[in-house]
Amino acid sequence: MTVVTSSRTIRGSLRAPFRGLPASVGLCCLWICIVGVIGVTARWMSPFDYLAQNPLSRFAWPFASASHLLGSDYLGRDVLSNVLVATQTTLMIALVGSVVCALIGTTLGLLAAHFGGWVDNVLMGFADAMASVPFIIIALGVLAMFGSSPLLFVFLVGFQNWERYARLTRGLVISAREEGYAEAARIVGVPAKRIYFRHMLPNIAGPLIVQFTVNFPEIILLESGLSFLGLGIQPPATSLGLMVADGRTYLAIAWWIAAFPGVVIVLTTLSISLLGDYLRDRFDARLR
Amino acid sequence: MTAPLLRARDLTKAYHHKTGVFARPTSQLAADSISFDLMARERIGIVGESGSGKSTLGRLLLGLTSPTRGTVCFEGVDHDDRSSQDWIAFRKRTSLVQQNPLAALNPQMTIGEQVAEGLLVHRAASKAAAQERTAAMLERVGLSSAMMTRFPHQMSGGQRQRVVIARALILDPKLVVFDEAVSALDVSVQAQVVALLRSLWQERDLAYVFITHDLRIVRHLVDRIAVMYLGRVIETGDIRAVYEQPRHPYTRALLASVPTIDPSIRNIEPPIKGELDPDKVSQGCAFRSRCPFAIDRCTIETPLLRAFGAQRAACHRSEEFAGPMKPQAAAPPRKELA
Repeated sequence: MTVVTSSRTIRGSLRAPFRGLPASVGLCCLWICIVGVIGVTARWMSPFDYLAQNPLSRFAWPFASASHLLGSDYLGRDVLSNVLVATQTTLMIALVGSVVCALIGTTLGLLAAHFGGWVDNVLMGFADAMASVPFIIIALGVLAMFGSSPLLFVFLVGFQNWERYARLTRGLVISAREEGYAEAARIVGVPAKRIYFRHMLPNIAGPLIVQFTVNFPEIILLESGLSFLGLGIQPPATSLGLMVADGRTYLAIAWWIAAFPGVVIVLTTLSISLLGDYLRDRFDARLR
Repeated sequence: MTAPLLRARDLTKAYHHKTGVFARPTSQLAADSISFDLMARERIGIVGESGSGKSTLGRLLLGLTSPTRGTVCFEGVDHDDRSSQDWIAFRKRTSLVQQNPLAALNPQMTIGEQVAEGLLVHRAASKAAAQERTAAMLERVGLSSAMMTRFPHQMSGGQRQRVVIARALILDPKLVVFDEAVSALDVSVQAQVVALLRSLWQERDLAYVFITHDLRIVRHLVDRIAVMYLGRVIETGDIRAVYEQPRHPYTRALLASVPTIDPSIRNIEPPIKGELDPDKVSQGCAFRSRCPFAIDRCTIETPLLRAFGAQRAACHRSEEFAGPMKPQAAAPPRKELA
């Protein structure tokens, strides 16, 4: 019997995901890390209380003074502090929303694949119905009817695009079920639940992770859009979308109020999208 | 006479398919009225070409698909009467070795986890004992126990098939179905695996159902053989009797197509032409369109299995194939070297 000598070392497998990483994706990762740090430490990092008003220094220009690095707004609030806190809020909503969305979609997709028949038809019909209406209209309707509370808002944005997860999971599970290892597990007598979670899930996780990175920026945009329309985060709480909406009025005389949160939105969504594209290629065996 | 371990009666599986919205659904019989008994420790080979329904038969025996008609009975319990508890017990006492070992192994789990899983799922051993038994089982099939931490992609094809065999045998089953278990392997590895399967059978209380298209392999492994053609068993019996004196023209053609080493008796002409033709089998012998011995009776009357000593064949002209197979007879005349 020959002994196979090649085995992946731990360090090698840790480094493997970063080998041949394009510079653009590296920059994206860097920005995501920065945003992540901001998300955790915003309250300590911000130089001012983000709500502290100072009528004497309204509309201070950015980069002009050391105290208001990114300028101040129409109430003399520090823009940098506001951006930091708003990033935290938006990130929180997007993160919780994405997780909620992934859980709902994956669960329903799994149920559709497992039961098939009318359960499958009902779930997929529902998914089709959801996909056929722009979600922002549904969101507007729900928020107008029930009023905006943070909890409702988080779950609402979590419902956006759940049908994509459901379809993806359903397809992946149905095709994985036909693979030899799933049948082999069945023959051994492994219960269905264990087959799904222990055997199939690690094998289909790649596309789901990629879907997560695609969904994440879309939730940020939805949150920003709804807050911009005044139906999302309510003042005095702040979010990136709300800041853009606020600053829009003063765009002609103080562009920085809307521009900086806008830049954070653009860079964050762009970074996560690019990372998602890259991960999709990495996880696809045919493209590796 | 003791009761058989496995009893199949009139086993039929039809696959329906529709070609269009308004087309009448056509059905194809992947297994057609198959009946046989398998005793404990008996080894049976199921042979046939692609599409003959041999894999379907294996799946039916293990209850992976339900038959359109007929019954399968394992240790006296009918598949139809099994409660989910009975099914779990059945899974513990039967096993399958699939064709492609790479597909049959989970790429994300280590070898040790996959082999030990049966023990843990059936609570047949504690975690520590399962580890120990897995290591012993891997060593029994010719792998080192250090391989337990490996992943399937880090092994060779032969090693993977040994892992699949270890996983199939870890629960000490009474019946193992091998679905083209060695077809994907190199010839040299094939021989090693066949030797392993023989020695495993000798030391354990095991019955084999060996599904293959490879007539050379099956000869070394089984006691009894069943030849399938388009879902039907057309010849069955003791392996030696069938090999020495095949009573069905299809079996004769299959045996004649086994390559031989001696170039003087090498067969250049294929013994039968064409491929399986499932569309024309509503009546009469399914093999008649390819059979060199077909007569008018073959188009009218479907031949049934008839006994000839230790074997049974489904051919109207079986009596005429009385002599043993002479490979020379099928070969072109020998050319004198100038």
